[in-house]
Amino acid sequence: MTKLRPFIIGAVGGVLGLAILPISGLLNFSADPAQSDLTDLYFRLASRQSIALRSFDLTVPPLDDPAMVQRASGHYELVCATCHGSPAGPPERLAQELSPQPPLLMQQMERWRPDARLFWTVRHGIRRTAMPGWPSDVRDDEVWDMVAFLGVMAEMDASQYRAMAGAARCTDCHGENGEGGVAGQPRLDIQDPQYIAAALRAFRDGTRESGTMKAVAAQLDETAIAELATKFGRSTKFEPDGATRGAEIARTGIPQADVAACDSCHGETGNPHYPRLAGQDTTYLLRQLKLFAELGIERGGPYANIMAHAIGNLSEEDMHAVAEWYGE
Amino acid sequence: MLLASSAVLLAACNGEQSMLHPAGEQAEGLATLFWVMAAAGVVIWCVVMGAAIYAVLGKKRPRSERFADRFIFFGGVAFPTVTLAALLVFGLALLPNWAGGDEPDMRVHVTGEQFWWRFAYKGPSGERIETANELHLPVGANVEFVLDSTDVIHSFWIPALGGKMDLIPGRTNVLRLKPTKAGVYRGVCAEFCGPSHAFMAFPAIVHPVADFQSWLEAEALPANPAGSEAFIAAGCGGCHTVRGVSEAGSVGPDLTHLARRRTLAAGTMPMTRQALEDWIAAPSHIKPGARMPDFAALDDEQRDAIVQFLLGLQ
Repeated sequence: MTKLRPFIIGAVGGVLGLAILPISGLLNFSADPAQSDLTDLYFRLASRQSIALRSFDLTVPPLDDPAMVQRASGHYELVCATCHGSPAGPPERLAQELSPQPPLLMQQMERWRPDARLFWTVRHGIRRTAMPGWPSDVRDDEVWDMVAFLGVMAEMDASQYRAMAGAARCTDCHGENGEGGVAGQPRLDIQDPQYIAAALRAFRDGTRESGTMKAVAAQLDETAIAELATKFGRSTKFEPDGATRGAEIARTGIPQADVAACDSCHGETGNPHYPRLAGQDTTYLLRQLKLFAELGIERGGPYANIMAHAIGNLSEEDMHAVAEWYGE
Repeated sequence: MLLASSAVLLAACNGEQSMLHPAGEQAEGLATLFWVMAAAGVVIWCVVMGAAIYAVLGKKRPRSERFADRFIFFGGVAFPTVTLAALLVFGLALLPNWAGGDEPDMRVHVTGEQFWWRFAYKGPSGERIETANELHLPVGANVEFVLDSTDVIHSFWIPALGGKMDLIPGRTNVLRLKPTKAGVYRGVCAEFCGPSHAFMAFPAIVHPVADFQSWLEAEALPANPAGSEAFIAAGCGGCHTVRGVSEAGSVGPDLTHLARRRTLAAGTMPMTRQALEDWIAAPSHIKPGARMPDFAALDDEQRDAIVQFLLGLQ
């Protein structure tokens, strides 16, 4: 027992010390720019190590697809640029008052690499800073898009960035008249206004999962939703043609894989609340199919339960076939 | 649900789902085997218990070694050999004829799917007529069931008509049954196949021959398309065929003459308006793991119109 005494005293002293430190009030938690560097260093180290540890076993998907960069750019302009700046300009005045200061990503990107750590930071945010996590808990695909964008942002000049990210308006991603044109972004002009209104409400309420669209729809009231729905939703018709595997699946499904016939809901005879697919962007269709296969009902939206069942055991190969059949 | 489960419990009380009330040739053999075995078992049990009681309470009287040897030989070797051999012969005689034997009077193709039954008949003019979850047979016919499965192993069992046979994915099994008494019986899945295994049943209706023919002719007709708009718009046709209305999908049960069936959802509920409404809104609440999505998101008007259409599928 006597031999153990120093250890016991040490342990008790250590615990007391840890408890007394915050109680004493010695740690300076003010947001003054001139505060001691030590506290700052302490928490910065803790957050860096925390990110490193938790992103340790992440598998980084291929990030070299220009469509990924394109898809994330609008969200960056709408949400991130305010604090982190962009090729088009420095952060807003308000952000420069924050403490700790949000990093200027045009200059300091390297500090947040590699990509796995960047992903974890964007996905989960950082405690005791103004950095929030991604608005959706299940859309890691959107977060990877953002990581891909951040990887190339520093190389862009203002005009390139402006052309890609636009000014955070619906038309930047969905086309001037909702006709699409941006890879991976859905065109809206083929849908019924009822469908678009329901989708916007679902994004706003978080019942359909998308961090990007949640950030946009959060600003919309019922009047704005009704206006946008009638502006973009015009039920433009497209006729897919060809006798491909995709056409066969669309017309009759794959009974042995429990895949329903797509056209029964998504064709011209279907409920206007169901989305029309003919003429839709191929990349977007493929991505939505993968989301339904991975997330099932979690993907969200008023009719997610139906689609989560209707997709059955559709193979990845057949997803491509279906997306190409409907897609433009 | 309560109704459904009490129906299951009560099924044991009448002859509907009982191998002890045989209504088919194969079931008669099985029932006889059961009664002979049970009677012999009772006799043997009484003799053994009698011997045990005698051994404990009886007068202790010395026996000759010769008597003991003979007692052990006849009671312990000869008797069980003869009895078990007799039972084996009786049992083997009941086995189906694996060679196939004579051409059956008719064939029914049965596919087990989680958690329902696909039945296909040959129609009056040789065409394939698909129906689901209700089996119709003519009395006295030698019927061959061609059995397979699309997902997991199921087992096809109509206790009142005969023994059971597994449905195995990637393999075709054959079972012969010959119903001898007209009536309504109950068939079940007899191999655990998933969360709603217990809700995978079907009525098996044995008709007089003429009635069966008229059932088959009516079943071969296309459906009445009146009022199908809501059914079409909701996309039901993506999985369900209603001949004459929508023939694209065949993932789920054929609904062409749904309203003529006695039960809904593979023997789970009686076919009523209420049951249809409940089922369409939330199949997953009634049959966990069912492949059909909940259509709770449709508005009441659309659901009512679908139910109305389905009730008209006579």
